[in-house]
Formats: sequence, structure tokens, C-alpha cells
Amino acid sequence: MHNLIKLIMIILNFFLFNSCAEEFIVDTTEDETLNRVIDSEFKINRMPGMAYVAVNGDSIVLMDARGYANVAEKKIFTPQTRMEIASISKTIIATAIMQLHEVGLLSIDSDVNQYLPFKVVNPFYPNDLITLRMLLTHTSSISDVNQDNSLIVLHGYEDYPQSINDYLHDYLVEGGQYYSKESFSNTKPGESYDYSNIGATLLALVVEQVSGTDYNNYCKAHIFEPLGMNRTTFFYSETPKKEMAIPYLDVNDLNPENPFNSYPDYPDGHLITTVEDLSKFLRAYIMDGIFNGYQLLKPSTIQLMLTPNKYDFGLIWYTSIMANTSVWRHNGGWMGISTEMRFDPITKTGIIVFINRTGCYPETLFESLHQYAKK
Amino acid sequence: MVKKIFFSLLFVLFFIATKANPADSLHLNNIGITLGYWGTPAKTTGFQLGLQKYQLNTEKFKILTNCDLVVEKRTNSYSSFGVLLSSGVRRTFRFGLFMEYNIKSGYIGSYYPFDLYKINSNGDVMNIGKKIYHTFVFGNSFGFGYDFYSTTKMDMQLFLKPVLYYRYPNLDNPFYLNNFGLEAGITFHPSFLNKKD
Repeated sequence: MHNLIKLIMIILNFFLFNSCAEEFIVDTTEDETLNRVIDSEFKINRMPGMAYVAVNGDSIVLMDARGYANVAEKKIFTPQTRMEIASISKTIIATAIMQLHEVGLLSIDSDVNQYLPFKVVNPFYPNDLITLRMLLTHTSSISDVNQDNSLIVLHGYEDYPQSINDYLHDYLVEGGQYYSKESFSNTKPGESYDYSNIGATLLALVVEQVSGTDYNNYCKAHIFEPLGMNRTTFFYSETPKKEMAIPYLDVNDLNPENPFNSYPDYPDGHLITTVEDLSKFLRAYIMDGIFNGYQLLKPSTIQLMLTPNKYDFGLIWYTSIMANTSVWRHNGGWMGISTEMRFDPITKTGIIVFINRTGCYPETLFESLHQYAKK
Repeated sequence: MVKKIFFSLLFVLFFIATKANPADSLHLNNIGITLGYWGTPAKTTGFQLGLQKYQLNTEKFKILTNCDLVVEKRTNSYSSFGVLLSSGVRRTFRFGLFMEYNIKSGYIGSYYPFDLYKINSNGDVMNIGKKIYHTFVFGNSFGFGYDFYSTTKMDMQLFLKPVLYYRYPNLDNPFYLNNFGLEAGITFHPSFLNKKD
């Protein structure tokens, strides 16, 4: 028995001794150091694969990947690998809305019902207007609680067949298939923050109604194609499956049977793109709205979008202090998907990271890449 | 539903065990040594070594406690060392077959053999060296085995027990914090551990 206790003590000593290594600051603007940090973060977070890009001004200063897009088939993750990016998709919605705002086809302070084929009313506050600005700042009082109760996901590599118009009608209008009072929170519109996927998708419907174009086609014509985002779409039907990263819901299951899925409110999360493509969109924001010779948005519009309210939200974009620096950002999380996009408008630098596993947001990795972008 | 059945079964087992007559106790060889595989099937490999003691030892029921050292390794990643304490109940059927349930808690430390990094309060990236991640473990196992004593009077048991355990903090998926493990091995009761006064 005493020998057993001695053995335990020896092993514990070994562990404690090894945990007392000296700590020191490293310079992640050096290629070799950054690579060591990336390798470490990649391994300790058990990522199946990831791709990343760091940008400075309108240039890419670093773009690379690690691991696998498909572990079972040993398919390497590359910066050209396509992946769903979850909630970062909402920045596309905001861009489309603000484009229509710029040309005077809508006003972000108007009642959303001006632009809809059905009427959206919070049953707890039937006389209060819901404006586009409220939807853009997640203060509209439209709630995802009801969606959480009746989440609709179609498993398989096929697009959800229902239009966003029909789905939102069913969700938000009394008598609709998914309607309940819980589709709204019991707070006055505009008064409190409640992150809402449904609210964001309602904005995409506004884009459809005002532009007279299907949302995906609008984005293609006014955002993706002018910026040269040739590997970007919302739909599986327009994406070769072999170019997709497998989203790994559970890192202990690296050969999932049916990893892909779609849902009716696709504008709020189902953008399929690559880090290379998305960096063009990010660089347009960094460069006062211009990339590839195309004016995506006016500088004054971007300024408006990046003006924080009391919840640190601009218009869809939100601001955070990360490692003592204020950045504008959006991230994304879904089954098998973790994504981050952030930029600093002062230094005109930014990063994008795609990781094909659930719930993985390694801040050390993000900050190291951002430091590299600033060098 | 599965949880309800599981806990109902557990409750029944414990209830029956408390009704076992201690007067029927088999007082010989209450302390044993367990040796076995411990790890996540096909993902990590490891072993366990521990001591087992019967707190109640009758022909049909045993209430037992274990103290196990566990070691596991994940290729190209971490090596773990842990101490787990468990307590459970065993129902032995005819011919020596038994079912057993245990609850477990303890410590597992995972050692990463490469430098780790973190951000300090000034926003600097720090090399913090090779570190151990300390985790608290809570779990349970429900398995079966064979007790040779019933048929051969040889005081030895084979066991196979799937384990569900929760590790906190945890670097795995936040939505699936439970880890799955497997204990498989042998328990024997050497005479030097069971000397009688």
C-alpha cells in the first residue's frame, strides 16, 4: 500500500514540476513564432481543420490552412475550401440593406411593414413600430425563443425547399404554422437587446421585396460578383460537395453520417464561402467600401454601420475590446462550424478564421493572427 | 426516457442491496486489485490500476468502492493521468454473471508535450510552456462481468464497463461535454491484502 502511495506521489511530482515552465512574451509578427502558436492552438483545440487569412489594407498578408476538410478522406483544408459560416452571414444582410438605403429604396428608420407582403406586429405592443434599424441592432423584440422550440433543420446536402417569405409568414403572423406569442418578447420594440436570427432573416425578406429579386441572386449581383467572390453562395445546389469542408459536430466522431443541413431562415447563417472570398468582402469594409474597383458601400454608410449603441452594436456588426484593441466583428457558430471575422478600422487590419468543429473560438489564435496583420 | 429507465433500475438495485442481510456476508477477500484498459475506444489508449474494497459482500449483492489510477494517451496530443474514486453496487446472478453500476469522481490532468500560449492582460501573446490542464471528473459506469468465485471458488472477476464521464473544464465540444470511456479488465484478491487478525 505504501508503495502505491509513493508511486502516486512520484507521478504527481512529475506533473507539477513540468507545469512550472517559465512564461515569456512572444512576437507573433515573426513567421516562425506565429506558426508555432498556430500549430499549438490547432492541436490543443482538436480542430479537424481550419483556414485563416490576415489582411492589411486591401492586401492579404497571410493566408493558409491546417488539417483536413474531410478527415476520413484525408482531404486537406485549404484557403479555397468552402464552408458554411453561420452568423457571419448576417453581415451580408446588413450590406444589402444599406445598399438599398443608399439608393433611397428604403429607410432604415421606417416601419418594416412598409416593405413586407404581410404585417408583423408584436402582440404585447401592437401599437409600436418595428423599424429596420431595430432589426439591424437586434432590438426589434422579435424573438428566437419560438424557433428554439420548433427548430426546423433538413439534414442532408440539399437546400431547404420553403421560401423565406413563406417561413417568416408562418413564424410571425398569427395563424401561421409556427406562430406563437413567443415569436416576440414582451419588451417594447427598440428598448432591449435580444439577438435574433429571425429578425435578421426578416431583413433579407425586405431586400427581396424592395429589390424585386431573390435574396441569393441579389447578393450575387450586388455583392459577390462585383467583389470577385466566385466561390460564394447560400445554396448547396450551387456548390460542389467535394469542395466543402465537413462540419464536425462531435470531434470524437470524425466520420459523421450526415453532417450537412439546411434551414428555412438561410440568410442568417447559411452563407457558403471560402476565407479567400470572404476576405474580399472584409477588405471592402476596411478600405472605406471599395474593393476590386467596386464601391460596395459609401464611406459614410460604413461609418454609420460602425457607430456603436449602448449594447456595443453597430448595424449587425458589433464592437469588442480584444487584447486592449477595439475591433469590429462578427462570429458564427452552428453544428460543426466556428467562424470569426474581425477588423480594426484604425489600423485597417483584419482576420478571418474558419474552423470545422463546434464551439471553438481560440482567442490566442485570433489575436496572434491580428498582430501579424498589423506588422 | 433512457435516463428514466436507467435511474429506475439504479434505484431498484440500491434498494435491493440495502435489503441484503449483512449476516450473510462473505467476509473473505474483501480487498482486490483491478487492472484494465481505460480510455476512449479507438481514440485514446490507457490503463487503470486500482484497489477495490467490498463494503458489503454477500453472495448476491456487493457494495463496493474503488480507487483507481488511470493513464491515457492521445496520439500527437496529450497524455493524461488521473485518480478516480468510485462507489457502486453489484448484483451477482447464477453461474457468476454480474451487473454493476458505479458513480465516479476524481481528477484527471492532461499534459500537452508542446508549448502552449495565452493572451495576458496587456494583450501580449505569452508562451506559457508545456502545461497540464487540470480537470474535475464526474461520471458513472454501468456494465457487466463474470465472477469466477461462484463456480470455481477462484476469487477473480472479469469486467466490461462503459463509462460516461464529464470533464470540467473541457476542451472538447461544449455541446457534448460528456466523454465516453471503456473500462475492461480483471479484479483479483491477493491474500496479502486480505490478512485476517
